[in-house]
Amino acid sequence: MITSERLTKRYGDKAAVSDLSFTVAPGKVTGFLGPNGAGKSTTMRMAVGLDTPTSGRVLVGGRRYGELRHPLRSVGALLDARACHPGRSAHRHLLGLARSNGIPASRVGEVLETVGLTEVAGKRVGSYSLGMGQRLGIAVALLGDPEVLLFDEPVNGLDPDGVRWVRELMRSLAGEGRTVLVSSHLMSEMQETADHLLVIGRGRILADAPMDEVIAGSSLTAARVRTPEPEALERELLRRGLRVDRDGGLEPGELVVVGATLREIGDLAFTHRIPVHELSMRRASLEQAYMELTADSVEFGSPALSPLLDTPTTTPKV
Amino acid sequence: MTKTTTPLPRPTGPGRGGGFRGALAFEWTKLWSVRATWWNLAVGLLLTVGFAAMVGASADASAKKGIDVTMPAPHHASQAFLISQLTVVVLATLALTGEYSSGSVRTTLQAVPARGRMLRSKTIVVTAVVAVAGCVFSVLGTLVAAPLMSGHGDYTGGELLGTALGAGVYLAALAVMSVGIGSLLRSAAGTITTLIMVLLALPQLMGVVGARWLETASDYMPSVAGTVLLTQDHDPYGGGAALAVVVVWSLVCYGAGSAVLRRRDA
Repeated sequence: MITSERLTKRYGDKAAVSDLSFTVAPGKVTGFLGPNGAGKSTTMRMAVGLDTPTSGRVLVGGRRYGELRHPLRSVGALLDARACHPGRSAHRHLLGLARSNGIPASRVGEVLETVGLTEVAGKRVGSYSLGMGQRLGIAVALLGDPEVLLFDEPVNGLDPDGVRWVRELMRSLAGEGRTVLVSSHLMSEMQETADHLLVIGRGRILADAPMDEVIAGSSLTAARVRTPEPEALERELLRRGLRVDRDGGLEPGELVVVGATLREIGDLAFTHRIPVHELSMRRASLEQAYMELTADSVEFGSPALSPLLDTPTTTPKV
Repeated sequence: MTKTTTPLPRPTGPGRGGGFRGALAFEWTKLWSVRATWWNLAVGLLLTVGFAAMVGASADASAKKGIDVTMPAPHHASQAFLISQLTVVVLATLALTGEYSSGSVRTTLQAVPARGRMLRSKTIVVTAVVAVAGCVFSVLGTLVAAPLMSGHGDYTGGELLGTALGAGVYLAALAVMSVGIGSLLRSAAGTITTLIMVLLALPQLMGVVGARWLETASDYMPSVAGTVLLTQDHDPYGGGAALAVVVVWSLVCYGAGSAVLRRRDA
């Protein structure tokens, strides 16, 4: 369990994190999302005591990080894969950390095995690839067999096989009842890994909800209806206060309805004796839902490339 | 590379280990697992012994020209520390600033979040290693220099021991100063430059200016006190005062480094 209470961090005039309150529950993978500069890393750094909050506090397992006698046994964190002296071997790096927290030395071999670095454990970390460094960072996080795990961009630099391995690892850690908070910019990856989402922008919470709810909340999650009487159906839908779209590359007789279940639309059509030829749900991707949520809080935005790239779901008709 | 997803074993045992002892073991493991430590000790040893041999031989040469060079060999040989002290400065500085240049300080502080404890344990480990090295270097330097001085360097066991202890204490103080300034500046280049200024350049410059008070002040520079500790001559003050001078320098540097480390985000 991670609890943030009115957490605030300011650098001069600029608030990196402002008044952030949330709880990360055990037993699931919580995705921590937000644009660059949203305050994700700062929040994670405050959770492990590297940065001091300007005000508020963040607790792990009900206690401040600095109060833990064996912090690595309570909280494992991968914040920065390259947080190891390049001249030291992975084995010595882990051994030192194990000694610092009274973790048996035998555990070093176990975590090296888990992350697949056993064969290169004696090599200097400076010679590692980005992906190997990432695996070492994960080994450090797992070393103390902690209840709470924080991963900042864990799949950075990993090959597709490694990405899948991380996803399975996160799922299994959460399955064991641990608290897992993962930040990532890879939305498709996050969509497959996370159960719950915590989205922040400009240091504030934009969403704190289960994955399904976040996706359902997107305007791109919508029902598609095909009917020979589109005008009649549209009138009835609008009367119910629903958002209806008839343009945007739709065929004649096609409607897109936002904010209603298929059942509601079907029942409504039946009541008004409007024939329906097709009724289907179009689910937004997490990426689309995320883009909508964060549209106003992107600090370092990129100019739009072309209208074609903006709406990947609607195929323009020629 | 194998990719396994073996389930993690049971949680590790209850609240044993960790704490200050854990932090000491951690620093010990870190110190010896990088090459810089071994290199600096090896170079320090070579420089001390090599320079001791050189000054020993030159003393004999001077004696043959009729210049009185009689001085106990341990004191004569300890001139070598003028140079080899820098390897100690580099060793202790890198033990601290290496954490910042590599980013490992973030891992270190996650393992030992109590910053005062982290800095104390690092300082104790580095200082202990350097103090032992100082004693050993001094004795070896004497043993090499004495035969080359051919009778002009007779010494007693007390002088040998006194110089060895003085070398240990002086280098230990330099290690504490290096760790303290390193924590303050977080950069190896800045720390080493600062210490070279303090140890070598400033005492010279202060004498050159010609101002009386500067000359007096220069007596309290750490390298001047170090010379007293190494040679037990009572100029400009005795061993006790010299010890006090290096202790004060160490405490001031350590205190500054520690205060900044506690306040600053890592």
